[in-house]
Amino acid sequence: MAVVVFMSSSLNANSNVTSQIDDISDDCFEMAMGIYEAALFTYGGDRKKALSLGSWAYDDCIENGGY
Amino acid sequence: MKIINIYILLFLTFNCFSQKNTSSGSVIYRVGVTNLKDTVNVKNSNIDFYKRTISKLNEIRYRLDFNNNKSIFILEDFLVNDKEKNNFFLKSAKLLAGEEIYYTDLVNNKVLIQQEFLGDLFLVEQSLDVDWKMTKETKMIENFRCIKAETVVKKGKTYTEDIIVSAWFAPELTIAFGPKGYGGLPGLILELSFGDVNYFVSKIEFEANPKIEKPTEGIKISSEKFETYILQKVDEYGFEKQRKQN
Repeated sequence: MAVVVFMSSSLNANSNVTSQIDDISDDCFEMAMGIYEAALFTYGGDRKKALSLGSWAYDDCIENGGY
Repeated sequence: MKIINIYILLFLTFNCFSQKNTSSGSVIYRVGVTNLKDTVNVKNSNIDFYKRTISKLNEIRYRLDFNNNKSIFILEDFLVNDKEKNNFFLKSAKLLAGEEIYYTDLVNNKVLIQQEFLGDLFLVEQSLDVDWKMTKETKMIENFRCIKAETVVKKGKTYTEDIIVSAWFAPELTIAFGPKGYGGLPGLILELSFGDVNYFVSKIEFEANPKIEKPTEGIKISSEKFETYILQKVDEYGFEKQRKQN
């Protein structure tokens, strides 16, 4: 019984952590998408440059655990 | 008669040595915007991003080193202090103006562009041939009479809109080079507009043998395949798909 309770709370804790990670990833994606759109406008429609900045912003956000 | 011949000989000799060698040297270009973008119906956040990016363009310089048949165009960082180097909008301004290195080879009619994209270094090869249209417009730049030529970079995989490129070249300077690998005109390009980003001459120096090294590091790829790769990565990241859904 104790093992079942332990495993359940472990699984819950893990799913909470996974959910938090997903939230950070979604937030970072939304932020990076906004930067991509702004950059595309600023860079005269240059996808390569806009993606360079958008992807950098996404990676930086993930590394810092979200903004 | 003999004395006159000696004077003529001395004059010609002096003339030959005193003429400047203009077939090699360096040009420093500064960067600005030609016209501000139309911001009607544009989100405030995009307008703010745009204004803060272009405010940093005056911190950027480029150098074009050239000789008879080769040139290299490269970003110079000397104006930026350590604190500014991490400034997000300076980063954005450098992306806007370009961080690529352009090596132009007139003999082989090629431009080699060394550039970083998503953490990888590429050597993109493209033809030097540009479909230039001459105009009748002229203006003085740095005491050189310049003529305007234009071309269009068509929208496609890399660009979502057509880009108008204008080049002001000086026929007096018989050097077929310019910023961003553009050249093949009967004169050095002293001012180039790529869309609304403007590269304009700040200083010209003529010297005997500037160092021009061909970039060799990077994944070799044609410009067509590189454009396909860019679009593939845009699809993978999904920033445009999400935008369409929204």
